[in-house]
Formats: sequence, C-alpha cells, structure tokens
Amino acid sequence: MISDLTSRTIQASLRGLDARRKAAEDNIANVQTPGFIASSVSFEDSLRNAIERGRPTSADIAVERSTAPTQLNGNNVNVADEMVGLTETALRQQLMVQALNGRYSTLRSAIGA
Amino acid sequence: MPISPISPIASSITPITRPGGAQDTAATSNSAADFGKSLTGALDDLDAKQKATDELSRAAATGDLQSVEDLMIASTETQLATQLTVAVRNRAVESFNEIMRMQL
Amino acid sequence: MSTPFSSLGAPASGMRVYQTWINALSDNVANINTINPAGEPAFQERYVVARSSGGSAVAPGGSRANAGIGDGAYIAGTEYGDPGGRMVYQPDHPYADENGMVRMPDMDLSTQMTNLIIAQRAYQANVTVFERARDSYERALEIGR
Repeated sequence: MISDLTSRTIQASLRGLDARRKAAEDNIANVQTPGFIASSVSFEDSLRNAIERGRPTSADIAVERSTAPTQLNGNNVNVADEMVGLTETALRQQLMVQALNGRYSTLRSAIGA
Repeated sequence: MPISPISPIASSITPITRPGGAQDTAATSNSAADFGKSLTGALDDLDAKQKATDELSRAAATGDLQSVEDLMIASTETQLATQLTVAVRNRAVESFNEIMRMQL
Repeated sequence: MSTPFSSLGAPASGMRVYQTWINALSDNVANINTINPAGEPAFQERYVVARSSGGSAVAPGGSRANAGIGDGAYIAGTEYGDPGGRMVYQPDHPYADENGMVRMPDMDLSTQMTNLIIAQRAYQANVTVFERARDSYERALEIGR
C-alpha cells in the first residue's frame, strides 16, 4: 500500500500540476514581454492511459504553445485566464496533497504509530 | 385474645433469579461469536472504504472527479475507520493479556 | 469545466465575456470621432453577441446533480453597426467631398460609457463569484482536518 498504484498516480498528478503551475507563473511574469507566446501543460489524458497500463509514473507531461491571438506586440498572454488557471491548479494540488496525507495517516494508524 | 402464629418467612420470599436464567451461558458464547463477526465485518468495511477512497483519488488525479466533497469525506472515513478498528483490536489484545495474567 | 472544481467555470467564462465587451466598447470610444471620406463606409459600432453555454442533462459519470445548470456564457461573435453613419459638414477637412461633407460614426459617447460601466460592474461581479467559489472549495478541502 505504501507505493501502490494509487500512491504513484497521486505522485504523477502532483508532478503534472507542478509543471502546469510553473507554466502559468511564467506566462504571468511575461504578460508584457513582446513576442511572448503563452504555454500550457496537459497530462490528464496521458495519465489516464498510463493508469490503465499500471504505470502511472510513465505519464507524459506535455507543454504546448497557446494558439490564442496575439496583441500588437506579439504577446498572447491573457492575464485573467492565467489567474483563473493558477487558482484551479493550486486547488487541485491541495486536493491531491490532502488525499496523500490521508493515505499516510491511515498507514500510520495501522502500523500503530 | 388469640394470636395467630407467625407464618414462616421463607415461603413468602421469592428467590432471586438472574435475568435470563438458564439462557445466560449460551448468551456469553453467542456474544463472543458476535464480537468476532463484528470485528471481521469492520475489517471488510474498512477494506471497502479504502478501495472506494483509492478510486476517488485516482479520479481526482486524472481530473475526472465530480465532487471534491466525496473524496474528502471518503478519505476522512477511511482514516477514522482504521483508527477505530485498530483501537478495538488493541483493547481485545489488552483484555486477552489481562485474562491470561489472572491468577487461577 | 469538467474538473472537480466545476463551479469556477461559469464565473471564469463571465470574466472572458465582459472582458471582450470592454474591448469592443474601448474600440468604439477610441473611434468615436473617426472621420472617413463620404464615399467610404463610416466606422461601424462594434457589438458583441453573448450566448449562454447551456448545461447538459447528465454530467459525465451519470450524475444528475447539475442537470440543466449551464456552464456560463461565451461570445458567439461580433456584429457591426450601421456603415452609413452620419454625414457632417466639415469643408476644411482633407477628406471633405465637393459638398464639404465627411462621414462620421453613428455612435453616442454616453451610451458607450454607460455600457462600459455596466460591463465593468459585471466583470467585477464575476470575479467576486469566482473568489467565493474558490473559498468554498478551500473549506471543502479542510474536511476531516
């Protein structure tokens, strides 16, 4: 139970969410940079397939360039969208951490610690 | 004036019988079996809860979870059920040791 | 949003809609006095067309909990106003035709400013809803702690 499918799935999702958060922070930091193209991260579909194969940690964390239209200076970062995404990613990370902590707490009880 | 003799007390006192009477011994062994059953039942229930929480955790990881509350409640229930089962097991072991230590 | 935090989808879409409307109104206000020659169309007022993102009857996973409740709004497209505009007499203007007339947009500044205030208020309201939904989720994440 310590390193079973569910633990590794949670671990993989935390890695993906971390990558997504970094991409959002990078986008927001570059909101005025001329020519900057926003990037986004996708991993959920790959993770779903990886779970079926029993190897969640092999899920692919893909970074994509945004196809949103650019402003006059070539920058296509939409601040409101990035803030919304950042909020949601932070909440998802909290959720997965809580799930992980719950598992550790259960294990500790069973061990008798 | 005639004095009526005092009737014997013993006949007017009904003996105290334990509630249940002869069924008592059978009840003790039944409750021992019941306890064993309830402990196994608690373990099965805990296993089911753990599996349900695992499924919800995986759904949350792939973004397919519909309700955050479902996972939080299931996770909490699993932790509490584990603690309860462990506590019951500990008490049972303590009691067993107590009995074994009794001078006969 | 088909995430565990689905309540964030509607206010996020609202923010996008009103942001787009504000862009359209800004464009109108910036061009409120744009002059075109009489032979060309005037600057046309920009309108955004907002549509509701209708809800599905059954959510993925079979839950009917949110049946019929939509997922916010979206901008279906942009409409353009009257290209005829107003003919104005300005004989000194380089674009003036032989009658001294130029074409100006048929827009009213006060209407644009009023709409701007409405759009800004609506945007702020959506931000508030978003923050409230986020706070609710944060409390849910504390269940059992």
